[in-house]
Amino acid sequence: MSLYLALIGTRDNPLYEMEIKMDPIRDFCPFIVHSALDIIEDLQWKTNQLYFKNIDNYDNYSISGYVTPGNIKFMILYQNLRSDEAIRQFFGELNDLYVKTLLSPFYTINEAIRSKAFDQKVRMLSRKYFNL
Amino acid sequence: MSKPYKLIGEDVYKNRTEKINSELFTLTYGSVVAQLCRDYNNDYKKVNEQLESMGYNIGIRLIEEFLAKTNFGRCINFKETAEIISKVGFKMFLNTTPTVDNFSADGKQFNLILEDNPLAEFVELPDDNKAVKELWYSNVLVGVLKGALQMVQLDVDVSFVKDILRGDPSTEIKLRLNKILKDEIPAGED
Repeated sequence: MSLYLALIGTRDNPLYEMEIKMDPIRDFCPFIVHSALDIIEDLQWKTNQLYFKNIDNYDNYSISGYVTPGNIKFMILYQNLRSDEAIRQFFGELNDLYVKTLLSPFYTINEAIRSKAFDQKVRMLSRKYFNL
Repeated sequence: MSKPYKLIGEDVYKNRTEKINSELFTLTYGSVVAQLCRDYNNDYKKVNEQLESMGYNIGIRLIEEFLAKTNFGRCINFKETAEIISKVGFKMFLNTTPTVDNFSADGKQFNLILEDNPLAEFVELPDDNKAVKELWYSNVLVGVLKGALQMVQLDVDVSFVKDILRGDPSTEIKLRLNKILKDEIPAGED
C-alpha cells in the first residue's frame, strides 16, 4: 500500500503534498499527477460530482481526484488502497480540513499550506482510512 | 449580591442582546487583524498597539450599553468587578464565561482564563517565527476592558499573558487595578 497526495491550486500550482511509501517512483509523483490534471479538467465540466475515481494509471498505480467547488484539486496516486468508498470519505474530510485552513485570516487562496497542524491532520486521515 | 451573576448574564444574553452569526464575526475580526499586519508590514508590536486602541474606543462606548442593559450599580470591591466582567460582560457580548483565577492577596490583580475564544476560531498565526512571539491576536479585548473600566473610574492595567494560538496551554488576560479615579474623565480619543 502506498499513497501520494497533492493539493493543486487554481493556477495548477502545488499547495501541499504528502507521500507515504512511494519509494520506487518518488521523484516522478508530481509529474504523473500533473499529467492527470488535464484529464480531470476535461471531466470536471461534464458532471456535477466532485469525486473522480481512477481517472488515470501509471504502471500499477492509479490516480483519483477530487475537485472542490472553488476549483482546488486534490489528487492521489496510489496502489492497493482499501476501497473506493474509503477514498471518497477521505476526500470529503480532506475538503473539511482545507476549508478550515482557508478560513484562517492569515492564509490567502493559492498559497502553499505550510501549517504543521494541517500536515498532522492529513496524516491522521490517511491512517484512519488507509491504515498508512 | 442578590441574584447570582451567572443567571443575570444568561438572562441578558438570552433576552436583551442582538445576535449575529459567529462566523461572520470571527472572519470580520480576522480580516481586520490580517489587514493591520499587512499595513504595518508585520510589525506586530504596532499591530498590538493599534488593536488595543481600537478596543479602547469600543470599550468606552460599550460600557454604556452594558450599564443600560444590566442596571448594575457600583461594585463594592475589585472581586465583584471581576465576577461581573466574566459572568455578565463576556457572557453578554461574546457568549463565553472566562474563569477568574489567581486573585492576588491584596485583591488588586487577577487573571481571566478564556476557555474558548470566539475571536480566534480557525486562526493559525503566520509561520514567520515572529508572530508567535510578538502578536497578541485578540489584543482588542485588552483595549475593550481597559476602556470600559476607565469609564467606571477604575484605572486598570490589562495585558495578555498567554494565548493558545502561540502554543500556550490556555488563553489568559491579566488585570491589575492601579487606582480608583476621582473625577469623571471626559470620553474621547487618548
